Amino acid sequence: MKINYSAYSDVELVALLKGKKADCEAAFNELYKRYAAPVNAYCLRVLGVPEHAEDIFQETFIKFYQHVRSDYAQTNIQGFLIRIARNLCLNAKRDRKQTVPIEELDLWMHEINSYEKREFPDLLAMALDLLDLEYREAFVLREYDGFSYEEISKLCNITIPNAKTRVFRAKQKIKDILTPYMGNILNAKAKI
Amino acid sequence: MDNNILIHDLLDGNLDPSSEEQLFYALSASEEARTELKQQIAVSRAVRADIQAFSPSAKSTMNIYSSLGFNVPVAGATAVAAKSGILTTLGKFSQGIIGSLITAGVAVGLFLSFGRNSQPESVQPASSSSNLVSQQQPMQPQLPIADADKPVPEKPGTIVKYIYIPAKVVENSDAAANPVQQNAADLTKEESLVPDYAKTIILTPLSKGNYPLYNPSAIGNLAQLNGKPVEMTPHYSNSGELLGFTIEVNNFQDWLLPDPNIEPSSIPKFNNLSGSILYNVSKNTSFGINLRQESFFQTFTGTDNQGDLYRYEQQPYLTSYSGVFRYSLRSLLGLEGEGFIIPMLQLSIGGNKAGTVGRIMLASSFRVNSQFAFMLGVEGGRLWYTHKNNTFTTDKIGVNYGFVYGF
Repeated sequence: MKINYSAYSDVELVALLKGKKADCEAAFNELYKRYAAPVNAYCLRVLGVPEHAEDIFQETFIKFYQHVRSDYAQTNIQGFLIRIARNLCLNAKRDRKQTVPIEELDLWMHEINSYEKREFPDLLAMALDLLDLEYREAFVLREYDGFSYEEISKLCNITIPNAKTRVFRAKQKIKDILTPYMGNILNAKAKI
Repeated sequence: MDNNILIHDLLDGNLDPSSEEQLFYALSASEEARTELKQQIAVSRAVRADIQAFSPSAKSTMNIYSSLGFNVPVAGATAVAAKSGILTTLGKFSQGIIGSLITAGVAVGLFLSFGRNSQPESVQPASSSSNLVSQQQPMQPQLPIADADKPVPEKPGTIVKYIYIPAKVVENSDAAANPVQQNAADLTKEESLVPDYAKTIILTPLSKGNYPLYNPSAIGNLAQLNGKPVEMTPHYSNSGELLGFTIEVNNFQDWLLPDPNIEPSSIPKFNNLSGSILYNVSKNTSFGINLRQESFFQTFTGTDNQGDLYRYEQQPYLTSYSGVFRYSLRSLLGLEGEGFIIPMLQLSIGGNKAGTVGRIMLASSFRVNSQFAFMLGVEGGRLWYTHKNNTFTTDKIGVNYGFVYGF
């Protein structure tokens, strides 16, 4: 009889990851189905560069599997995955100092000005790129991954009020950046 | 308190009840507050509409699963194949449907190209009726049959090697150090699964010179001896069989045995499609050749240079060449006269780059007219292949269906 792994809790699935290959594979598959989307959203929107985000995304799940197989005692799987992704993203940010040639920057600004041809999520992604990492990360953790302020505070090693402030300021900054385009978006009501 | 903070708290679900009245008053009185609310809602909606962020690429999924030695999930493979629309809806039936459409297209093409040039049966000259001449020249596939199976018994602690063809292995230092990864190309290069005989299939062309019994004038002589005109039925015998050369295009819906543990990362366009040319040497017997694109699931064991025992698993796509022998069962079943249904037994033996292939099929063709017939049958096939001087087998069963065109 086929086992319905979707009914298993995260803790049960993690226990299966340490077992036989068939169970391990099915458990990993189920965990991947549950958490691939939020992890991918974190990597992509925090790093901003799809190619780098793909690398980090892959490495996150591989490291997660290796951690679980060796020694793992946590129960918050999504938090653990995001923590791995966060460390990898910070390392990548540190190693890949962003230097953008002036010509490229001009081109990019030209692209952002042609907002009429873009959908609002694209504009949002570009607005996120303009935020400082601390605000961007807080916004992504809250809005994309649905973490509570308490979880954000633990992940980012900040206080809960500080986490709340970062998310609020991030939203305000995004709104300020997108204000010139908001009129069109709100009138159109179509793209979002 | 700032209205913006109140709106933020409202959308966050954290609005203090004591501040609700203040916010609702602000919303009713201030256009600015209402705009702020709309804009914050728009930002939240944009997050939910950001499909790209929530959709890991199929390439990433495949790389992760490959690195961990897992089967790529079906959804990932489907994404790679970039199926869309109705094919996605039809899911597992899409392959068979595509094959059927290709088969139908080829059959229509044959009909249009050959049908116009064919002469009416009643006026076909006797000299062209070479199909009435018996030719007992079966095709020699020149392929040795492998000996009995000699599987290597598995020891406890066997290391399993999963080989994905042609999935790209992610460049990862951890993965590179993982001993269970091996490129399938290296395996075939160093240990050569390709037997020499599979490369040298020579099919002797049929021609008049090869068959001394061929004598078109014999029919004319028969007409004179009997003193009445010869009745021309060039494509069908009395039992309803297609005579002479026939072309067949078939598709297969097959099940691999044992059930594969791994899925291929891509599927060829013409997978499970085959083409055959047969020559009907008598009303019951036909010989021919067959070319087919197919896959087998191979699971076999072997030792590496260090003496460690491995089990390899792969599902390669192969092009198989076979010699075909077909026998009509109408006589055996006591069916006489011109029939719509022609039951038949078909045996074939051939090879591909992995090894030797043998098949047996029980089928029936359904005649549409003097040149066309449909065919439907049940088929079993076996691949014999060797690895380090040990012979292994893998099987498949399936449904075979297609079109037959006689000319």
